[in-house]
Amino acid sequence: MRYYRYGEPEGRLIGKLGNYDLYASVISSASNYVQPDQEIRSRGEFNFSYGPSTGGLMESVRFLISTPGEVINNISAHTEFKQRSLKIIGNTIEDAQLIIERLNGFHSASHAIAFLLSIEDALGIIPDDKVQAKRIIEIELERIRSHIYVLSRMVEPAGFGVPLSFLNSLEERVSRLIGKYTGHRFFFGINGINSVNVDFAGIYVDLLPIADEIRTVQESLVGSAIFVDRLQNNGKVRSEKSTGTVARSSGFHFDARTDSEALPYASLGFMPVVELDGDAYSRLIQRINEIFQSLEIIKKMDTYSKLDIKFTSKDNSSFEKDGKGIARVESPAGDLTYLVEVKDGRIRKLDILTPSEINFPVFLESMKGGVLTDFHFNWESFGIWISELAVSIK
Amino acid sequence: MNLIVLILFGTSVLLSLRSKKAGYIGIIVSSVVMVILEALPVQGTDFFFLIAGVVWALISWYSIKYDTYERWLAVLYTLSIFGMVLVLLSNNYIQFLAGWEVMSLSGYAIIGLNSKRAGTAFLFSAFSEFSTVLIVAGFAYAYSITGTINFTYLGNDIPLLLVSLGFIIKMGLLPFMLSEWLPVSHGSAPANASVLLSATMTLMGVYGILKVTLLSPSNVSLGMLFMGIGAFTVFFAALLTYTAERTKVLPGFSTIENNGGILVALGLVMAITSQYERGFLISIVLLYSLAHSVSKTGMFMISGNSSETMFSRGSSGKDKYNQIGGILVVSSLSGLLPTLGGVAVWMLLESLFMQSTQFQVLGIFSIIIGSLIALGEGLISGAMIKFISFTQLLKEKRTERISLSLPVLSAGILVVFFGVVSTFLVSRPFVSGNISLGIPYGFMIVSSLSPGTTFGVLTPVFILALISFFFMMAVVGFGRPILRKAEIWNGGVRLDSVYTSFAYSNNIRIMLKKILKPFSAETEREDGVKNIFWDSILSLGKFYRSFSRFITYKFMNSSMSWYVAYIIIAFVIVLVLAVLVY
Repeated sequence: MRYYRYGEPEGRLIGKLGNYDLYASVISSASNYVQPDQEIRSRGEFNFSYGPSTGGLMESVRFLISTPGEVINNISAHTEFKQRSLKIIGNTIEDAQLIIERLNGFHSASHAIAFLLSIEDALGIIPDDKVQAKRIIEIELERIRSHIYVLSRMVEPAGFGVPLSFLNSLEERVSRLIGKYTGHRFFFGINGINSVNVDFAGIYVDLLPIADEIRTVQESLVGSAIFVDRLQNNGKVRSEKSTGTVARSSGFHFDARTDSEALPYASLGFMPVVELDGDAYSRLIQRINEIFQSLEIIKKMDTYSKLDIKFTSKDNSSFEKDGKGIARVESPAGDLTYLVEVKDGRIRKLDILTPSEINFPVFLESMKGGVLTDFHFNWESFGIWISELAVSIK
Repeated sequence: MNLIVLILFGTSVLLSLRSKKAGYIGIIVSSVVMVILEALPVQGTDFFFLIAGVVWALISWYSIKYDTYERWLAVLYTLSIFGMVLVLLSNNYIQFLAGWEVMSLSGYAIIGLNSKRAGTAFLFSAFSEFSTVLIVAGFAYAYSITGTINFTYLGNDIPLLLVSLGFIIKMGLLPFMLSEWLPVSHGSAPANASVLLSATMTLMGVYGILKVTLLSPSNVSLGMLFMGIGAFTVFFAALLTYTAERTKVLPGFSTIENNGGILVALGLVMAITSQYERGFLISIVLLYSLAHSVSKTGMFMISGNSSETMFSRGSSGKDKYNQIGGILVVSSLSGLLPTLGGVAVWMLLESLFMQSTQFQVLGIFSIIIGSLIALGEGLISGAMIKFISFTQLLKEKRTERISLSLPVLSAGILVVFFGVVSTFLVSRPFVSGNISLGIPYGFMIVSSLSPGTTFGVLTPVFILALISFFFMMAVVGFGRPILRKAEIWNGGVRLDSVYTSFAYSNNIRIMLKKILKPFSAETEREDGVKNIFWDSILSLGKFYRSFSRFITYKFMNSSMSWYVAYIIIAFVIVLVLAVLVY
């Protein structure tokens, strides 16, 4: 394992990965975390069931909200309605990758790349710089699209039809651009061990008009006092147990692009931007800022390709057939980690820690004390995917 | 005629000693006779005989089946009514006070015998006696300036101020405070006694104020003071009505809110010098009182028909007559036309609008008062929807008890009936018609500041006719509505949520959290809010108790010399005051 070692807890706790606690560069024995008792009842309180199959929720999830009316005293969630059991153990790497890519189609590139990086780590393969550069472009493209999508989801509950349609069209344009360059809107089938079968040259120029239009949307959204009022102080949270945009919008500089060596962001001089307030509005601004940061990263990578820099090609002629590997990347939602064990070219063990798993309890906590009418804005601002939560590997 | 009425009600008291049912039937008969002898033709303060008679007849009818209590309830019930009859028939202060105390002490006994908490009856008694002290003071001062104990014209406003303060306490009001003694104590009585206390005992307060107002010179400042107290009460009582969680506490707060509205009208009567305008304003007081009394009777009967004391608990079912009657009485309390409550609220707001056109201090003040009342009415509409929904409409099973629900239906029909015929109850100069609109003379209420002018008009019968016409048209055009029942979609899972009344009113708790202070450690009340006024009254009470204990232990600890000194000092103070006053 090149990126991780076993040891005592050290640095930032990212989350629970299989039987381990995952830290920035250490995996440690899991601590005994006890879920606090949430059965406190106040006057007039009743359980309001929201979901699993209802308007406003994109995926099947049931929120059980304990409320005395309007205000949310307690909230729990049931994701079993979307529970999927994926048969991966015993599969070949290629077959496993087909499933991994479809685990959360919207963040397919991040999952595929994290998986492949962990496989490469297990097999002792050092990926080429050019492959890594293309992987960075993939993830940043995915981040742009994902953030635009989350913005559109945040606008939808406000009933803002024009910006909603505008953002949807932008998301579609990014998807089409991805499709044009990769042959598939969700990056399916382009990634492999130490390979990315795409030429991204010129993509930055294609993205520029989209960037301009995002600025227009941003100005109209933050200029709407009604919209801003729905977001400010909504779902305010500052938790060290959060990840990704959620963490960075509350002042934490948590970012796998800076504290994971799986992808060479360090060579780009990357530094995460942060917001401080930790509410839904901060998460909105954070996402917009990150879109432009991703564009900058893509610009740099695109420039490199135009300069025709000689990328290093590693000697991977003698890689092992068995091994254990772990890799963590910054998916659009946050830290995404894969821990794999490979034996005889087949997957023997697989543990996944997704950002949705990490941020979901943080979201539930942030909703306590809020009001029902603010629920949607806050929920969407977290950008959580139930598909990343309700999955088991067998 | 007075004697006949008194004998009839006195006989009812005696009958109740023998048989509860006979006592209640006696009250029904006596009430009918009283209305015929004393109220008809309906004019001036005789109107109160009509109000009281209607309510007593209704509630006694209800009590025949409802009263499963021991005999004391019927005896005290009839005795309290006897006291109120004395108040209504009184020609002098002594008769009035005698009736007042008979009424109050019977109420105290009813609450004391029924309530599980001893403090409730003491609470009722404390405020009752505080009220009596002020009334006695007012009457004493009136005697000092007129030299007679008979109700006669007073050339001074001070008796009016004193007795009005006394009467408003009995009506559940305190100046710029919101006391909770009325909902707490009235809610602790059996339902039929709650009606007695809430609908007619407070009515006696209105009667007292109006009676003394008509004997006093008009005074703008005094009128504005009571208008301010009334409007303040309307708004804050409406807030607590909306958040109330007990089936009998909500009507109790609603009583305070209604009495606040009536006090605004009384304040206008005090402030206005024009006898013409006063005629319209007195009609408001009378119609508002009738609307409140009959509606509140219906409301408390619905509460009595529920087995539970909290909205969110219990398993009693709904009843067709309770539902129809209930919807009508809460419509009246919400100020909806063509019910009597709608007519009364329209007339009150109309009066305030009229005053606002006068461009005087009273005019500007009327705009503020009108705004507060409008806010209160909005909240009350929400509170009434809560009441009828959680006591009847949202119930799943049916438990038909016609003998208990028919009086509720009657109360509902009466508020509509009185609303439609309200033109016959309003002072004649304010009744008109419009032949071109097809409204015959006598069916239109006209608001105006001076004879021959028109500010606004209302035709309740026309509104009823329009509603009936469109309803019939809808029935003829579309036939009977087709009801389709669909299983409730609960996101694809079994429906196991039960919406609570607390949740219904939580929006106001959150929106007005700066006033209501919900969810704070101190708000351990069932309604989840903090009444800072009541808390301050309780704190004052506690302070007074501590102070009294201190004085008792320090200076009056069985020491004869201290006791003699106390008597001498008190005597000197009374002497000095007497000299100063005279």
